[in-house]
Amino acid sequence: TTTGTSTDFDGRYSIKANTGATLVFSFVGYTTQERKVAASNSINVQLTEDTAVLEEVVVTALGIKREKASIGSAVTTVNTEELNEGSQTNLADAIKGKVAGVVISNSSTDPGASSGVIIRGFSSLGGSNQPLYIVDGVPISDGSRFSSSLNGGYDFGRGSGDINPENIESISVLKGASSTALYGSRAANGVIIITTKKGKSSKLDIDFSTSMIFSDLLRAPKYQDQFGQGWDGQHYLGENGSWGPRFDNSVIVWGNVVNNSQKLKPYAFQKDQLRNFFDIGESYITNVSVAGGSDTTTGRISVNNATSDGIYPTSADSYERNTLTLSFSSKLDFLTFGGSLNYVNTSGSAVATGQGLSVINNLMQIPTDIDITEFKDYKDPFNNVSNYYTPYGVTNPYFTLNENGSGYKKERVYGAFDVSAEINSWSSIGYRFGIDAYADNTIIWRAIVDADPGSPNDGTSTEESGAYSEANNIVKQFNHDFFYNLNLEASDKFNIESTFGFNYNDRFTTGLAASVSSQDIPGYYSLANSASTPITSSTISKRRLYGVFNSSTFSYNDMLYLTTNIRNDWYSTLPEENRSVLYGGVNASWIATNTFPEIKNVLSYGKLRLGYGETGVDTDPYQIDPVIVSGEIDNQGFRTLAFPAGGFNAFEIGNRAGNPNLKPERRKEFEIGAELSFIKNRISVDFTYYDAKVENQILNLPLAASSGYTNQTANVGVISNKGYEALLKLSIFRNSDGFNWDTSFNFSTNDAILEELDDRLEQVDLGGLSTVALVARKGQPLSLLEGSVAKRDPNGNIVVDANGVPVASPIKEIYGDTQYDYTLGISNDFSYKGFSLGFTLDVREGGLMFSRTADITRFTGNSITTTINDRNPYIIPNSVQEVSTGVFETNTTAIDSEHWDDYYRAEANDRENVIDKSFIKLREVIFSYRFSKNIIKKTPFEDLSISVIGRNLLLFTPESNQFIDPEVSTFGTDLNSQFGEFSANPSTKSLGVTLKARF
Amino acid sequence: CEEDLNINTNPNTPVGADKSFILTAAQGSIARVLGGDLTNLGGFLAQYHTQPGTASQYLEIDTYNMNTDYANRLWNELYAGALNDLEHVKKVSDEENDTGSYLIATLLQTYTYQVLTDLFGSIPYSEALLGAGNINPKPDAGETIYPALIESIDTALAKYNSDSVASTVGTQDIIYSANMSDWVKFANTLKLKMYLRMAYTSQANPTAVNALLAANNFISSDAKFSVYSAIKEENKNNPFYDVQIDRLGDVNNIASLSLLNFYTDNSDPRIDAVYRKNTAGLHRGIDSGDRASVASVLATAFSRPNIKPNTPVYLLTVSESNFLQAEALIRYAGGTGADAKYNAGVLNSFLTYGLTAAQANALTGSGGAYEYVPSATVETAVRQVMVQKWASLAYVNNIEAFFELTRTKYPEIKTFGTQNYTIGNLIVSRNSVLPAGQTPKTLFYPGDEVKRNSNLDQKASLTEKIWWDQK
Repeated sequence: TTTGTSTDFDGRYSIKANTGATLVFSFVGYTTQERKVAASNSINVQLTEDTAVLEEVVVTALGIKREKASIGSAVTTVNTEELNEGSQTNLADAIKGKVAGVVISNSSTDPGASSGVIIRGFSSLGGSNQPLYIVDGVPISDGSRFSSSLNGGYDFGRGSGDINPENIESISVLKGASSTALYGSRAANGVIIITTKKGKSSKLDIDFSTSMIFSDLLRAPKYQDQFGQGWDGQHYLGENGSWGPRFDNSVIVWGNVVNNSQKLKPYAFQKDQLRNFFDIGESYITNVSVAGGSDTTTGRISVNNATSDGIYPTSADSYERNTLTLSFSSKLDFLTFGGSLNYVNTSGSAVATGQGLSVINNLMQIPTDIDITEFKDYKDPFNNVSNYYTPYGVTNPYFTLNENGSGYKKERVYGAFDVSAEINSWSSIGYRFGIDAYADNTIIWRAIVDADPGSPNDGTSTEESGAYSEANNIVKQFNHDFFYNLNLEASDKFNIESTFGFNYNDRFTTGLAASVSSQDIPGYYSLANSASTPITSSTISKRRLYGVFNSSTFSYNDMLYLTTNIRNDWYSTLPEENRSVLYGGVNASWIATNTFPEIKNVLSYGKLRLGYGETGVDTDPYQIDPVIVSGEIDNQGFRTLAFPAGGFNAFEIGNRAGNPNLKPERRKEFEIGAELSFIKNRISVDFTYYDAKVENQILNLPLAASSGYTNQTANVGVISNKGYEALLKLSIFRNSDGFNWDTSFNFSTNDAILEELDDRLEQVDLGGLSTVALVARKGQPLSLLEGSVAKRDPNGNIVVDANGVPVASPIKEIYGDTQYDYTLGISNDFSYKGFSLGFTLDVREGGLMFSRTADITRFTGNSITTTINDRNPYIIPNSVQEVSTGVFETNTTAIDSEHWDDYYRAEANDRENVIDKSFIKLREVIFSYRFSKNIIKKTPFEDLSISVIGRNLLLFTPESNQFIDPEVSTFGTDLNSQFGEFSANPSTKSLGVTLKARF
Repeated sequence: CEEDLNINTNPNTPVGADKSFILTAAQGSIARVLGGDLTNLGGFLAQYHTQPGTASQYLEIDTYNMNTDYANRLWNELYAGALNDLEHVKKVSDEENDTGSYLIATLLQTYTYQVLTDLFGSIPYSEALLGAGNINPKPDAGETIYPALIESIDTALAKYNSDSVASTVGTQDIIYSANMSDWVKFANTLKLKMYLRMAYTSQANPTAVNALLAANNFISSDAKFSVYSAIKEENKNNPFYDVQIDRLGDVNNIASLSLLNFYTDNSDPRIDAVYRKNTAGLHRGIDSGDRASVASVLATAFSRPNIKPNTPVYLLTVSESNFLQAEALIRYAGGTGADAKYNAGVLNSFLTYGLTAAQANALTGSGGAYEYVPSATVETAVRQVMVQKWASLAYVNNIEAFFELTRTKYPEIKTFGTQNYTIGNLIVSRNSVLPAGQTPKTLFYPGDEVKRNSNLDQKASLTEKIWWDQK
């Protein structure tokens, strides 16, 4: 028979054993040792660290800790040190570049903005592609609060941004369906399992850390330095572009005449014009935690404050997050109970992106010869909205920055409570309750822009009557899990661990929103401050699911492991007959080096993995039935006719057709991988190949309006994702007392293909604009950009119009796909005694994106790309004119100075606004010093370190991108974001310092 | 457990709604397209307005370069908004045996289809509005749609006449408050309009037209839609006012000399009803497409469309009805009585613009600038009617003005600067990108529809003629 015991914190143990019996001493991460029991009452053993298997234990499904060796699918674990070395506020940013096969995208580097996580490519055309976040065993909401409105977009972040990375002990990223199946539909895009820090027995730790980080503009569009204000080659003082004559450095008047006077300036290029507008951003993070416990009870509390103010002058772009966390765990007799509770409050404000009077749009329509900082005093008579130099739909950026604004507030509570009881030595039951609830409030206002009567800008398109909108939401999620755990040791070599469970998940959202389209009293922003009728809406959304599941791991002699996961869900969101979904996965691993210990001289550790899994995916609530909706009739994309109006109400047959036959999506994934390390772990490789298919893709399918409907939630096709993930680690120098140098290469590829599509469809629209769109086509890489091209005659010559400017073909073409060919992270870490230096390069190659920054700076003639032929008359080579339908003659019309602007804005040239989004970024540089024990011995500190942190210090992009940081997007962080950006705020680079202390 | 999962009925939307609410939305959709995009587009093409040098929002229209995305929104709104809502109203009316409402919905559907086919030519009709049952409706030729539409009116009329049930929609019918006699008149007027549209085709039907003339039961009050707020209020105003004037800042549409000079030359008081004077208190316009000559002059220096926050959107006016009757009399009844209808056309135009009968009569009376001159030749007589119709549709129904000038070639379109231009003609937009002398006759199919409907192929050019354009 076999008996066992555990040691206490100090390593003491006692066990009854007969003389001659064998005691096996094992501990995770250490080499197992065996001793025969002799006559002596005490046997002392010093376990040695098993370097083959660092970070041995991973937290897998349902908070169960498993040896990494037992897992037959790719799991990457990031521990707290790695996570927090860069002092990131946002957890997704903190794992950026650290997990193979995971692409983290930021819609912007605005304070508090969203960071999205895409694991193994986009697998859903219509639904979310974000992973499921599990904190201490319970799912938490990762909902986003953003608007991708072209007329003023905002991003107030995602739910995962509320998690304080400092509270995290470790993150496990589950990638393959064979291991995620247990979590239900939301796990189809992978699972991020977060284990928070807990108190440790008989030890009191007080941790303190503080960071101060400064940020600056990373990339501004490059401007041409030859031509200044004007249009059509003429110098006009009111123009918002640089189509004027060539610079001559003469002193000229500019702007409007105000009180019979006018300003003077040289007609010359303004270097660093945009850069000078921006400020240095600041952010501060402070964290204090106290943790400790007795033998039976442990606890931890932590407080964290993070504030930041971005690079826009003023605090219009700012963010603050406060988190308070309490966790405890107690073991009394057969009962273990505990839990954690987090309170988070966030607040912030963001600067609108997009067209119209957004600050960024105002900025990019300032000619290259005007110093933007001249406008800083926006109440000055020359600079105010009445006399600002241009009337063309833009105004003083400082006015917009100071007078328009937004505010976001969120109060959130989430946590887990669990209790488990040991029934006997091999089984236990448990219950875990998870809650995640928040209330948030968003307000957005635009100032009245009213030029004085008779002033130059009176009656122009710049004027607007102001606006105010406010939205409140309550989002709640309750999760109940019941478990029955078994741990059977069939023999000393054969072991079965098994968990049976029942899951109930309930999600509820309610929202109330109101907006008014004018403001009466300037400077007072309120729903009440308007004579116009408010537009209001209230929404409720409910969804529920039940699941029963089993997960079992069979292990043989620490060398062979087999895990099976099986789950049946019942979803409220699907039609009754399709609501029950059964799925599961199986994975296996073999530790070759335990089977053949003799090869350890060469191969220090070898593990092979194999897995296959399926997951069923439901959809959003209320997608099945057709609906009748309140009358709100689009008016040319700019406005609506919103009922009630004129004392009448109206309702429309909704534009979404019903679909009583909707089926769940099904993700099927196969993966194979190996973990190998050589020469005493000096070289290690972790390699995975996966092949995933998602069938019955649920998509909000755009329908031809002539069917009477414009969309339907439907099962339309199959997406496949295939890719490689490889992590190579080299310990080039290893000397525990001296110089160490570690290098790692983190490489992944993913090819997403729309393998099949409903026969009735040639392609589906995923988003974008009317000019350039994001689409998917059968057999093609997922998400393509489609847009206009020049019309050509039968001989392939470009057809130009009467002015020599290319004419657009009525048939659009595919420009290319938006996927990266590969991503590569290269990290180097050097250390010598207490000093360490690490840097990470992020390389992403391939893919296209749309850039409105390109579009607008080409429209205004500011872009460096707008000087073809030095703006001299130019005949498009091999061009023809269509003299009558189908009859073409050689073109002899040169584009002249009057029409150069028409050339750059021509629809036929839309391709020029689509750029290669490849880049190389110096993602992170960290230089730190950890004080040696000798120094801090006499201080109250137990541990003390200081680091200097640099982020995004360098950015390299290909020739075609003279405009932006290709990581920015104004379309969120999911599939739509692949489209690109619509006048996004610029990204930043930053430099800071962090101090960490433990008492 | 199963019961707990039955929570997928949307609590945010009504499960059912009386058809009257749906009818209002359908009328709103039609009005929004007619009074929004099509007032803007028609205004450029019929040369009521043009683009100033200091704006470029509608340069594509001004230069005859409308792209394949131009019509996405109006197409969606008419098919998925108006037509599909009306399909629902028809279905429910049928179930409720409300023959009055059935007639109203049929007429509005017919009107909408007629606008669509006049703009695009072949469009989905017989296979349209089948929902997910057919997501690739094949297009039907205009030649087959017109007779089918007239037949659908006749069927609905027959249904109503055999069992006259007054519509239950009441004042939710914004146009005629469910007054069935007004709707029957609307039916006749719409039929007359459609028959005349076919005047130059082999499907011209003088017998049917004469029957309508004999019955003489045409509209006696303007068919117009307005739920619009009298004060400036975003999303509650006339669609052209809301977008072009308020949202886009009133900078894109300035008076075209084609119409402005016509009014000035004839001392027509409608000039002040149709245009607002510039900030200097004067009327000023430019030739259509001549923005280069005023490159840096703001829109405020020109006359601009006089559309108010609550200006109604007109589907059919008494003025238009009279001009149609005048044309019909000239074409098919020897012209007797055409003068009276012509005069009534001008008179009612003045009334629609809020002017007086006396002002109209001064122009149509003996020796007046608009005095009707009987003529032996049909075309000469028709020209008078059509020029007046053009001058009376400005901001009343701009797209109808475009259709009619495309059909009849009146007013004539001349190339700028040529000797044969006279006031009352149109010119080829001065910044046209089309080959010399050409003007748009149609729109490209919306890119969205072409992409999603595999049975619809894009047309080759904007100069493809609509089937009834045969003169």
